Amino acid sequence: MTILETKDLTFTYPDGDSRKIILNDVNVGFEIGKFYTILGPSGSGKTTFLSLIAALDTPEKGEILLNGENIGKIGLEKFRRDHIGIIFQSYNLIPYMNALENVMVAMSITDNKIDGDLKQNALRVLESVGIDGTKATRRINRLSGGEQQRVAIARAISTNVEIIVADEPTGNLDGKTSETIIEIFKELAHKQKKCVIMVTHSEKIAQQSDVILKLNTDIQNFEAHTN
Amino acid sequence: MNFLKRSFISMIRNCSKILPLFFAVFVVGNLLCSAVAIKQTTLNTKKQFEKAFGTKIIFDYKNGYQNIGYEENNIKYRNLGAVFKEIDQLDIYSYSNISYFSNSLVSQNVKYQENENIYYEYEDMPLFIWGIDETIPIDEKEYDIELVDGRTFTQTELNHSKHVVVLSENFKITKDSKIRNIGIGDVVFIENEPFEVIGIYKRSKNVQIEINGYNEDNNCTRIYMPLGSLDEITTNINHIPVPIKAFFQLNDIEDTDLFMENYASFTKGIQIPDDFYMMKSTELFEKIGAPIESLSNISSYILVTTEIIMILILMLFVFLIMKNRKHEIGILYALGERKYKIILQFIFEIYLVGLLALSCSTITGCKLGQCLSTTLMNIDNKEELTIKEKQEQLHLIEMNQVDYSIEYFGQVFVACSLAMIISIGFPISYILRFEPKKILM
Ligand SMILES: Nc1ncnc2c1ncn2[C@@H]1O[C@H](COP(=O)(O)OP(=O)(O)O)[C@@H](O)[C@H]1O
Ligand SMILES: [Mg+2]
Repeated sequence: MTILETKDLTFTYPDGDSRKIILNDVNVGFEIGKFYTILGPSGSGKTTFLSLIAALDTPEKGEILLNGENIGKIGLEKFRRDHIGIIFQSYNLIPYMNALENVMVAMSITDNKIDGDLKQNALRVLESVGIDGTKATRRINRLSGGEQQRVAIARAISTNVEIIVADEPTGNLDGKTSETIIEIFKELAHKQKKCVIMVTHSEKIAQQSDVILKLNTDIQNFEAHTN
Repeated sequence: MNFLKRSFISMIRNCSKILPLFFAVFVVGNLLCSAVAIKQTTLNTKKQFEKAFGTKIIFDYKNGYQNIGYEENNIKYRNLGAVFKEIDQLDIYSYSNISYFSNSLVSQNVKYQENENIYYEYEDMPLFIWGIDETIPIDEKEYDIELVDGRTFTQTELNHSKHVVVLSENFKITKDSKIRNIGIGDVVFIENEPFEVIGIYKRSKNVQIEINGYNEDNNCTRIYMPLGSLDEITTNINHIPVPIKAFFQLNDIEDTDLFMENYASFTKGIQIPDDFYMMKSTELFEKIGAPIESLSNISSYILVTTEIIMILILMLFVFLIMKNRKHEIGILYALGERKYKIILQFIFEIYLVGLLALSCSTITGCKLGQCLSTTLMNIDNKEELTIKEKQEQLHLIEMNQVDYSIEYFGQVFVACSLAMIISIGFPISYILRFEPKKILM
């Protein structure tokens, strides 16, 4: 079931007097219960694409549809708050708060229904990504990179959204830690029936996903491979 | 973890970053408070002045009483007396009094009785007999005399022209410094008419009235009695008393014009004494209130300048804080937080710190303002004022306590709140105009 799709998505950046085309009439769909990776070399436009489907930026031309409805119509703020969880390469956690508080911030922002006590829920979600009670109340900057990224994942999934996007989430992490993070993503897609979209430049990581979307710099278009 | 809770957490955990803002607001708050204090003070003073003096019209002599007593002048004084009587009929006063004076009575004719004996021991001096038609002697209202014994006149005594007098305490001492046993209930004779002494007064210590002619004070020749009684004894000796002082307290400052029109029409075409002058309280205020006015202007400038400085300082600090916190704003916005809640979170956080600093500065600022306003008032004290005018001014400064009213705090807080909300709201609103990707970059 397609939950998110792009229609003729186009994006350019100014480049001297002319404009550099990054995305050119991109048409791609994402389904629930699948783990996607977007693969491409550095500078190919992966982050640009992800920012657009995460409503962190607005497309120049074309549409992004959630269940057939333009996300601009839903409202970008509302779309981010209720339908998508975003994981950044640089974690983007609030530094003066602890892990628990960071998760609770997102939970209190969303309009999605969260059953039971907010704090208990947040602790449970943190636990599920491997952050135990003692680490949950530690300041963010006292956690390792891998732990911080787990907190960021917990924050993204704590709001009961259907779509999770991640921009090179393992880019700053060592191989072993990366492995466990990828496992979490697989489980989210297959067991919890989320639509997981991850950006990576590593062929090896991409091989673990259900669908690889190759971003080709030359033709500015996607090439889909199903594993 | 709603936006208010986020404000609190941030405030507590970012203490060291927010401290400079606290001190900046504290310093500016002090300035602002003193400026408002001065302004409030001057406004209060002006209001109180208008209340106390603002509706007063006083007729008095320019040069004391030296011209009275010359028969060729008396017609003018009597004309003026007639004018006062007519003006007094207007229904615009809360209090009015016209004192009359007769110099045809001489002190020789004042006798007093002791142990059945009647003594005549006064020098041949003109008496200043003040006819009173109000239960409060006029001079008491003007802080001139105070009763040391007995009482003033009752309405019945005034209505029936009873033979009662209020004497100076100096009557107790003879010219050769013997103590005379005169007191309440004793009888003195004036032009052979017996008068019962009902009150003894003394001059208020700090007030000196300049009397060039007769040195009224030392010879204790001022006697107060009901106006009817004065009329009676002067009629007996075929003499019409002349007005010595008139005092009109208007109900409403707006009635000043009506008073002036009437005064002009009554005095039109008749001769009145030229050493008699009228002082409107507005003139009095211009004379003694000038330093207060200039203080009010200074404080207005200080206030406006401080407010501008306040906004600039706040903007600078908020800008620095925002630069540090831009990333956090981006995160919250990326999580889908509503713009107004992000703005409110920061306004609340910074406003709370500002308010705290302001509250502290109010306490010190008020003290500062008090000192400042008193100092400035004293510096501005004009040398050319007469003793009496200085007296009034002193009285004003005494009234000039800063009123720690709700209104006063309200003014400071509204001014600061506006400054803070503007200086926080603008940069955040500016940042939030961009999409999260750009903010997070
Ligand atoms: N704000 C920008 N202004 C101009 N060019 C940009 C901007 N952001 C990215 N680019 C360019 O767009 C291209 C794609 O960038 P990006 O989407 O970040 O690539 P990726 O994430 O695949 O490394 C790059 O060549 C980059 O230099
Ligand atoms: Mg990138």
